[in-house]
Amino acid sequence: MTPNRPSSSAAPSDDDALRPHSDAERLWLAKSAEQLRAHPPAFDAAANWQRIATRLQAERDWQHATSAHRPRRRLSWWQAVLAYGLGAATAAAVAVAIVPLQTHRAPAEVQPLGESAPAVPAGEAILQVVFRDDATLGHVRALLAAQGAQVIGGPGALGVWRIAVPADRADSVRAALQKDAAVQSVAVQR
Amino acid sequence: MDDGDLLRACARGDTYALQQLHQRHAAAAYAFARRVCGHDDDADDAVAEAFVELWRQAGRFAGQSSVRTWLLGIVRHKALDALRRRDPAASLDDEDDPIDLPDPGDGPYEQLAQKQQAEVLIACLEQLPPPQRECLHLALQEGLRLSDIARIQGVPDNTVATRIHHAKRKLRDCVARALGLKNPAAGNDSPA
Repeated sequence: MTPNRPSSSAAPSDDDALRPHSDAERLWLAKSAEQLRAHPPAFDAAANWQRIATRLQAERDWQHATSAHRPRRRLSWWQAVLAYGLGAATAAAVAVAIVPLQTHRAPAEVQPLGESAPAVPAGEAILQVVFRDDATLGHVRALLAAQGAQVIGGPGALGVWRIAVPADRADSVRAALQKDAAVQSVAVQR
Repeated sequence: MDDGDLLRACARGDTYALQQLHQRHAAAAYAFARRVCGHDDDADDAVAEAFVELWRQAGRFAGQSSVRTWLLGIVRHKALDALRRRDPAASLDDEDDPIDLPDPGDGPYEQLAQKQQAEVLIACLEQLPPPQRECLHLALQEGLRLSDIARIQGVPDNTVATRIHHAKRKLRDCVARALGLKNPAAGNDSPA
């Protein structure tokens, strides 16, 4: 091993870190340095270098594999503009053509059981009735029969029943139904 | 090619240049790492890690010190990392001797120089606090200047001077005790 600056051999200079205070101390330090250099710790330099070389090779292989799978390519200015334009055009097309189709919904309304709402019979009125969830079917039938009402539709998605009653009794039937505990709401369809 | 040329070649990706640097400095790096961390395998790891780091950082070498000094600074960091991994509670800080020993003046240096054996010297060196041990190694074995040691340890020059002062006295007393020189202060050296 060759020291960087063998200043501790015999005559240290003024910037010698050891700064001996006497010739005897200088002699002792020189002897100590000589002994330390003569007894270096055992070191397998070849094996150490092999470890380093293997690691560097592994890093190179990894970098090569990485760059092969992920090639880097800088876009020229016109390619960047073209890409940006295509992106913007695509976004605009989606906004104009596709989004309205996806977001269009039929107006929410109560649909009758049949495909078309039955025509209101002559001389009759239509009531829209919503019963409570805990109303039994027997109670509903008895209530409607007592009022001379006839179910002509429902219940729809909102639970609305459409019933027909004589037109001259529409208001009285509505009032009677409203008083029943099983009825949540009732309205005359105008 | 000198070390600077080899390092520049490393920056260009020349692994042969790194191998040349390894041949020149690896043994010294290992001796220093061994002195810092006190363990053969850790020292070997520290040297390998340091050369890999030197390879990666070759382009950033500013030339404010020699390549060897720069390398030893990297080795020190790697060795201390290894030491912390092995013993997280290890004290890596400063001196353990807040009590300033009385200066015995000129010790029995002539007797020490005549009778001292390398095994005793190395054993006493191992007993020094780590920072003092590092300083004395770099000064004795590497012949580095105060400023270079300070750069490696990341401390002011005065701190290094103090560490070396304490380290020399402790080493001298330790060797003197081992040689049966009971009164190291009773020497009759002639002043420089």
